[in-house]
Formats: sequence, C-alpha cells, structure tokens
Amino acid sequence: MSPFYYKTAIETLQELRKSGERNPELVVTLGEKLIYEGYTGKLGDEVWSVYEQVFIAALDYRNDALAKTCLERLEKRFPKSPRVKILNGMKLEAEDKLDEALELYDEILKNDDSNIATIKRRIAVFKAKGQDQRAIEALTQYLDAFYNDAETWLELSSLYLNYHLYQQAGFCLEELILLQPQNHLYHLKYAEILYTNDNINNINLALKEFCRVLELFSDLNSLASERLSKVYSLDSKNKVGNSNNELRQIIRDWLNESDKSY
Amino acid sequence: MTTQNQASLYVSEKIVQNVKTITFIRSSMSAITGSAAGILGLTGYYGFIFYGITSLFTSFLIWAAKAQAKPSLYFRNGLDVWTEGIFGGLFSYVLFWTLLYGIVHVYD
Amino acid sequence: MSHQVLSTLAESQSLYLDPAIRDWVLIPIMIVMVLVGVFRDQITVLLSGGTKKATLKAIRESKVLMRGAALRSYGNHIPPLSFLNRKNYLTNAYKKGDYLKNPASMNQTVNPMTDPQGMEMMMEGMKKNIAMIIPQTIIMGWINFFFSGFVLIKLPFPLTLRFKSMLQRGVETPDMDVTWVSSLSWYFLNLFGLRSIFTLLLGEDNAADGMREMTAMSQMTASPTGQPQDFHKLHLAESENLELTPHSWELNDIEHRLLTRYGKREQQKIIDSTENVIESNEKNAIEAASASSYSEHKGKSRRKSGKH
Repeated sequence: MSPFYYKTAIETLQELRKSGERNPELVVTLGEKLIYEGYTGKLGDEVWSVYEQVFIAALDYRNDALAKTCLERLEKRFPKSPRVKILNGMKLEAEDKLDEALELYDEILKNDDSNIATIKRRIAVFKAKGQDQRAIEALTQYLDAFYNDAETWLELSSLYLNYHLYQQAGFCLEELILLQPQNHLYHLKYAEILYTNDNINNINLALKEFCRVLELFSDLNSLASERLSKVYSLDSKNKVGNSNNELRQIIRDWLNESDKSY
Repeated sequence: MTTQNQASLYVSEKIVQNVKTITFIRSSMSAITGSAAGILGLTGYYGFIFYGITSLFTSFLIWAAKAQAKPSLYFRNGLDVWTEGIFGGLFSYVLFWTLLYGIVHVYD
Repeated sequence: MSHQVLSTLAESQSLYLDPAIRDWVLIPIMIVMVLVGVFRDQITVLLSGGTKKATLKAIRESKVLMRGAALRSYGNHIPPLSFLNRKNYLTNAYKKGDYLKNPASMNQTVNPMTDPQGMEMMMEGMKKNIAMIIPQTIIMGWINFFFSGFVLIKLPFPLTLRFKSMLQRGVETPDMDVTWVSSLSWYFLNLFGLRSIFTLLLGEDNAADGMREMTAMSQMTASPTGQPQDFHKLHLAESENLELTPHSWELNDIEHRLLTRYGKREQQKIIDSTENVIESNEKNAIEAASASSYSEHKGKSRRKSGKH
C-alpha cells in the first residue's frame, strides 16, 4: 500500500467520527488495514479514538477478532477509564448478555451518576430487552436534568409514538422546538403528531405548524405543502364550518402553482 | 415578520463563529498594518490616523467580501462588522508599529 | 509640552542605540513573552485536565435555570397552552425547590468550606490564578533585574510628561524625550499587544493572555473565588422572571406572513382559520402516512443515541 492510502483512511475515519455517521462496513475495512498492517504508530494520540471507533464498528459488523484486539489494547492503556468500561458493556450487549451489561452500567453510575454515555447505554439495554416502560422512565429522568439534549427528546418522542401517546410525543417535540426554534424538521414532526392526534384544536395547530415549516424552509417542503393542500381541498369539498374561504383559495392556488414550478 | 421573530432565526453558534472570523481578520490586519506603519516610519498622530484608515478599509473589505454587503445576515447587529475588535487590534497595532519603527528607524 | 515641540525633538534624534540592545533585549523579551503565553496555555490545559465530575443533582440544579431562560426567550414558538403549562410547572418547581440539590437546605447559606464541591471550585480558581501570577512576576522580575537602567526603544508617538517617571524608570535623565522608553515599557506593550497574536496562534479560547484573567479576578473580588451560589435564590429569581414573561405566539398570523412572503397578500388582515373535522377514513390514511415518517425518524435517532 502506498503511504497516501493510510492518510486518506485516517481522514475518512476522522470525518465519520465528527459527523457521528455509523458506517461499520467502511470503518471495519479501514480499521483492519490500519491495525493489522501496523499503521497505528502513525496515528499518535488519535489512535485511541480510532480503536474505540473501530471497536464499535466491529461489534456492529460481527467482527469479533477485531473487536477483541481493539478492546484489549484500550484496556491495556486505560485500565480504569469508565469509557473503556462502557465499551466492555457494549461487548456484553453484543453477546446478548444484557443483564451483565446492565449490572456493569449500574456500577459505573454508582460512582459517577452523571456519566451521559453510560446513562444512554443503560437506556439502550432497556430497549433491547423490550422494557420500553423502563426505558421511558430512564429517559424522562435523564431529560429532567439534561433538558438540552435534542437527540434524546427525539428518542423519547418516538418511544411514545410506538404506544400512540401523541400528547406526550407532542410535548417532546415542543421541547425540541424550544431548543432549536429555527429547525423546520422539528416543526414538521410536531405538526405531523398534532395532525395524527385528531381533535379540532390540534388540526388547527397542525395547519399553523405546517405553514411555519414552509416559512422556515422556503424551498417548499413537499410533505408540509401536500398536507396543507389536502386539508384545504378536503374542507372546501365539505363546505362545513366558518373557515376562511379566501385564505383557503389563496393557499390552494399558490400550492397548485408551486406544484407546477416544482 | 416581527423583529422578535427575526431575532430568533439567528443561530448563536454561527454568530460566535462569525465573530471569530472577524477577530482573526482584525488581529492579522492590525499586526500587518502595524508593521507597515513602522517600516514607513510614521510618527505621532499620523500613525493613529493610519490605523483608523486601514481599519476602516478592513471593515469595508469584511463588509463587502465576507458579508456580501448584508451584515445583518451574519450578525444580530449589522454594525458589528464595523466595530468588532477595533480596540483589541489597536494594542497589537501599537506593538508592531513600535517594534518595526524601532528596528528600521532607531537602530540604524 | 506641545505636539510641535515633541516632534521637533523626535526629529532631531540625538541618540544612537547599540544594535546589541536590539538583538539581546528587544527581540528576546518579545520571544520570551510569546513562549510564556503558549506555555501558560498548555499549563492551564494540564491543570484543568482532571475532569471535575458534577453529580447528576448538581447538574439538574443549574440546568433547570437555563431551561427557564430558554422558555423565556423561545417560548413564543410553542402554542400558548403549552407555554402556560411549562411556565406553571417551572415556577412551582422553582418555588418549592424541587430542583435543588438538597431541598432541605433551602434557607441556609452554603458554607464553601463544608461543601466538597465548593472546595474543588475554589482549588480550580486558585490553580488558574497561580498559573497567571507566577509567570507574570517572574518575567517582570527578570526584566527589572537584567534590563533596567538603559533606554530600549523609541515610541513612535508622543506621550505627556506625566508618563516619564513610569516609562523611563531607572534611567533618571530629566531632559530626555518621553518617547524614549525603558525595557519595562516594552514589557507592558507586549503584555497588551500580544493578546490578539495569541488569538491567532492558539485559537479563540486560549489561556495565554494574562490580562483577561486579571479582569476576571477583579470581578471575582466581588464574589470570592468560585463561591458556590445559593441556587434557591437564583431559582426564585428565575421564577419571578418567568411569571412576568408574556406570551405572544409566533404563529398567530403565520398564514398571513406566508402569503405576504409569496406575494399573494398585500396588507395586514386578521385571519381566522378555524378548520373542521376531517372524515375518519381520510384520517386513517394520514395516520398511516405519518406513522411511516415517524419510523424513519425513529431509526435515525436510535442510531444517534447509540454513539457516544
């Protein structure tokens, strides 16, 4: 292999780490090359995060030998680190020893009850065991303190949606909107939830939220405009209520036009 | 759109990033213009006038090239482009002015 | 002394400085100060390297304040009812002290000496101060010891006579122009001027420049080093702020705004957009459609929460 090769490999891994994208196949292929062909010395201090990354990808990809190598090297270097302990727990999870993993996480949390990664792994174990109730409990407890963790609010809302708890899911989305008011995806999801949870007030709210989505994301969001046009065309067919016909007409025209230009 | 609505459309991390960019430009520019003033041998008020002119020019370049003449897209207050980091830069300017003036004109 | 007199004095320069002064004093002082700044930055990283672990309750206690502030600033983006619910919940929780680390200690002031975390915070502050003061003192002592008693450089701008005793310390020549200054002035010039150079070298949030910490310290004298705050008081204050926050929903006139933006509507008009019940079979279809979009989102978030 040319020396150029490992440089691009390292850069690719860096980018994947930064974006948080999970691409186990690529990571395992690159990681195997780097680790087995002795390029680890060229990584400097970065080598430990690469080991961690490759380890997780190896678990995803069921490459046990590679995972073992990575974990052994990490354990040798950081024997007491909770971060490595979490990796151990993930290995247990991968081997389907969920209870043992849970015990390990509980032990870490006993010493350090604000270890975010551990809290999240613990929730993942609950989900893997199918104990959604406990997962929801753990999530709410976590979010009570770390209210500004957007991903976790999304996770909680999707759990609620599994049980058709639209009001609770809506609450989560409201929190997300408070965190990032300018993110049109949250508004869209919130509108969808309101729309699904049928009730006149909610439909009105949903319509407004769909409008908001269009305002924030001006390259017409197709889902939001589709919903709007559906509701408005439906309503005019039925001719019920005291809704604003003019507005409906304008929005419909506008949507038709934008459909053509799209 | 109400002003409040507009204010909430700013992402604070991006604003911090933009301020960093401006600080970077100003720091390097004040060091460079300070060196230039020192080499030219400006003294007294001329040196400060030179700083005023060059920093105005830098501001104009930031406004025109970096903010594409629409600073309110990048900052809560559009005037930030003209004022951000002017005084912080002055000290560096004086430092490099003195250094280069000393090296070029005092130690012959 | 007027400006003209000064400049004529400056023009009739009658002093010639030995180039050895430039090579062995002027430039070394600058290099040393840059290096010390970089070194200080590294040392601060090292000293604060031991990650302080806050307990979950402590985090909860301080984060709930931010949550209130977030509700105040972005509350207009959520519907009125949701805003009111949150407002009531938070103000009640603040008042009852639900979010306090130790709800029993509601009315006692905290003694920093007994609270282990307070001690830690004080140590943290001390470490930072030490990292700032020691190099500063050493450099100043070094300059005073080796390089005092001669003129180092000429400032290119005039200063009033008042600065003479300060800038020419150790030279004691009554008739010399004020613009000729000693090494200590060069030190101060560096101290202030290198600040933005450190920003270039080490990035925005470096610990290299001592002046910033100096200002931080002068603020600290008001509330002694890292004194733990009385969170109950802060919570009560936040609850008052929250109670006074009005709610004007961003989406009140959203339809109008949207239409205006796309040039379909000219002037302001109050729009009533009450809609009615949708037929149930349509509703089911919508439910199915949105359920599919949820599962998409769900997959995404699950993947994300898996990483750490």
